Amino acid sequence: MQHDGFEAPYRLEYTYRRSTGPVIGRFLGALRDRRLEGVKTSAGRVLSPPGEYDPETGEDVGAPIDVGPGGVVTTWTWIAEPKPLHPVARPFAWALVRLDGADTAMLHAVDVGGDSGNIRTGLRVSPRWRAVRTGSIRDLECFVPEDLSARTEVRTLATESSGPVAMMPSSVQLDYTITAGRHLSTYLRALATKRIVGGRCPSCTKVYLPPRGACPTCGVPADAETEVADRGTVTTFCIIRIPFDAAPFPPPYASVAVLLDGADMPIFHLVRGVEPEEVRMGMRVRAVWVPDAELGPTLASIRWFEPSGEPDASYESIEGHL
Amino acid sequence: MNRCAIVGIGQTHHKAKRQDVSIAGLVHEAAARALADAEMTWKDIDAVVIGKAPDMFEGVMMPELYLADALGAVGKPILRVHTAGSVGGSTAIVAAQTVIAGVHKRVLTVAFEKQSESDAMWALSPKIPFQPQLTAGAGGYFAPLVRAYIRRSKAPDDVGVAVAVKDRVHAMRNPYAHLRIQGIDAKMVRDSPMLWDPIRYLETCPSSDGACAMVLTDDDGAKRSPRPPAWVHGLATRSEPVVFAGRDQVNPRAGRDCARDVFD
Amino acid sequence: MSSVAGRAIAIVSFAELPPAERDTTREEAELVQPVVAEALARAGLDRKDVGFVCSGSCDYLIGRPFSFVAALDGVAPWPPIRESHVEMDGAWALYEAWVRLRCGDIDTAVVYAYGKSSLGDLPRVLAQQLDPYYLAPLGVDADALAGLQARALVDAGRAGERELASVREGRRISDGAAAIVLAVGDVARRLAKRPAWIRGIDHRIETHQLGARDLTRSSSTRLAAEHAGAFGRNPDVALLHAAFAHEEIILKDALGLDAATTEIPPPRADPMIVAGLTRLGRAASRILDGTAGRALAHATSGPCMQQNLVCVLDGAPEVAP
Repeated sequence: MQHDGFEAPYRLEYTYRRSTGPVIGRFLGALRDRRLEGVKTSAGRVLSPPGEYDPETGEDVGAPIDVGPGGVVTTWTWIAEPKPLHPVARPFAWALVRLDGADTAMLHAVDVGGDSGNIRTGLRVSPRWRAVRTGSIRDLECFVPEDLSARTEVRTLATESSGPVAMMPSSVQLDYTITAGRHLSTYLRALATKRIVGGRCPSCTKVYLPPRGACPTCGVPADAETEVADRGTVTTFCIIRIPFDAAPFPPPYASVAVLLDGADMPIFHLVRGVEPEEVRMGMRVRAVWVPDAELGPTLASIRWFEPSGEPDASYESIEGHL
Repeated sequence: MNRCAIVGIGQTHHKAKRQDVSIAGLVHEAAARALADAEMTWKDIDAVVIGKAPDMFEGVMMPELYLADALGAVGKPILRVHTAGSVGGSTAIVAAQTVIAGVHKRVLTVAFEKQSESDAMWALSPKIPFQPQLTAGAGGYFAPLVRAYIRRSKAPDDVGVAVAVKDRVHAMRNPYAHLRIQGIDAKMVRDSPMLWDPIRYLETCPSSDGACAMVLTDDDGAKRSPRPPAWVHGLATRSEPVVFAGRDQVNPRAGRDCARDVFD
Repeated sequence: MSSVAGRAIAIVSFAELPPAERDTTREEAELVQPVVAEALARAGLDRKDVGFVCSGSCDYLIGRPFSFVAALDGVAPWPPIRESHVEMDGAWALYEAWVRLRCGDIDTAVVYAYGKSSLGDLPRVLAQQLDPYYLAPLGVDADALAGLQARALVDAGRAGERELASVREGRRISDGAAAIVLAVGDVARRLAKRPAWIRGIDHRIETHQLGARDLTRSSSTRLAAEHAGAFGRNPDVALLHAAFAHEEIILKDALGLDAATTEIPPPRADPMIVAGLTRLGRAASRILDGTAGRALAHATSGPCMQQNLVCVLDGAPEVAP
């Protein structure tokens, strides 16, 4: 279907502050000390990396025990084009590595020198540690073939004991391309020309902003394009006093629901040009548009609303919209 | 239809930050307490129903996958309910229905949030292109509706304050509650900062880390319950569109229909 | 688990959007409205007569929390409806609806699912499911995990280059929606000439610890199939939810399927979160149209198919005890 709708990139990113609990915290502390540990279940099975709970029973796991440092690759997959967030910069393999003394395998990277011919199930590997370690699964930089590491890396005795790692930052970054469907795009396109266009439902005759492909009460498209005024009535509002990151202005400021003349549902926006304490239900307002050069396909083309100077609308005229 | 009994309950301590546990540790703690209360073990449970609002609060998508081990669910059915703010209730309802329907006999149900790992206002108010922005998290969304309620009902200004005091006084009876404010009274609530007028700080719910769990059983399980079970007599859910022309947001019909249904 | 006496539950209609690699014209509610309307029309059921609505979707796919709340407009929930939602593939929403119908007080349900995997980087989005302490920090994605499972199967002598190539190609991305109408007993008979009776439906999960699993077998699929009563009679057709060729091999083994006696259509790249529900719907369609007497449908979720659902559909309801 031909469509010239809008698209925009959106990055969902955050660094979570994770607490690890005693089992994981201890394991990460051991990694920081260049030691590998597992835990024993009541059935005597050794889990590495340590699960907090025995998958067979749901019970707590038992005491930690040393495992490795060497282990064996039990399966693998080649990554020909590593990404920046991968632990190894040249082509490498993800693998499940069952450390000596463990009954389960750990997922990590194996660096075999960039040649996929060098990785195989059954390969014996040992850890390569990062020089700077913070108490993370990435303190283990990757695994390397065991015979290689024996020749090139002096195996230090693990003498440090820096203790468990209680907190762990965890960054998430996901990129999306958000699309505005055709009805929303109609609305946005109109805003760029200082027009507010809604959609009327043929069944209930209500005008929705933006137009919709599905009228929420009737189940048919509410998309007969209908222009509404850029002035209307405040139905309800609140005064925001708490500061927060995404606040448009320093609080206090009023956020309002405005029933535009011609529309059958309010839109949410901001009101300026009046003390927040003066804002009231029924107040008549008009849109303050941004300068022409700043107009765009966004509700932000309306900078905010301001009092229009008209007498307040009656409570009865708005009570059906509360 | 079978009857459904609640034979065990468990909560974690709800705090601003439970930094002594992982996410799994938090839910396991509540579940283990519920099992202990029911004098049952993990292997007695046939199925698990877990509920949680947006995954973005903790940044773990579809957490039933990661949490299967912590809830003794390996080899069992596990469902994850998500109905936004009502999820705690709907999760228990779905769990109860599996017993009422005769699908399972002994069900563990859990709900949790570990909000300290992120920031609730961020998670609720992402700046997504083309979408209208929530101006200031949940409070900014509900405050205008509270104002509309006050106007319509002509409720005196201190009604919200009185409710807050009542709830916090009740919380003093629950050792696991997040807010246990000794000496809470109307003046303390009125004097607390105004956040989203007309909602004050002590009238809002805090951002908490916590989990809550129950063990539900059929009649057989109820007979074995160490204490008198609590029988489920009615369940109801109702939804309506969040926005539609002429919607009564102050006294939504969905709420009224649901309340009537649960008693009928 | 089979239906209780008098409460035989059937799928009476199914509708899906034509596959689209990328849908840029529709918001959530607009994906849902046409499929629900079509499924209702095929069943001859008015939306006001539906007893319960349940949906499956995933916020992370779409990139925003509470997306399913906006999608609900697609069923025009007015007057208010009984409704629920799982943040899982629609197949699990169907399971919840099946449970709800078994409670005995309502006779019809609508289940739908919608997803727009094209909005994000799907293998990376799926990686958000992973253990936050041991796996997420590594940056391993869902396609790489599939590669591990494929290699394990090759090592076990049950797969080869074809399966490895399937993983290298990557999973196909698409957007869409699907809806199913369920009904009970005589109501089902009124709404469909040949209802697809749910003879059994069950789901099971394995440990999240990948290194503790036998990746060459799907123990949870086998367990779900046992509990759903899938063994004992070969289905005429089986629809499997597999993104890659090696997954199909593992599933056929777990389900005891023999391609000589059971038609196994090649899996299609259906939208994430909808794909399992779509398998249930297409399996039901074969019974609804009379081209199969017994059908099996499978749905999966999680890294290397950690969680699985199996449903057995039949042209005949179970004989009431």
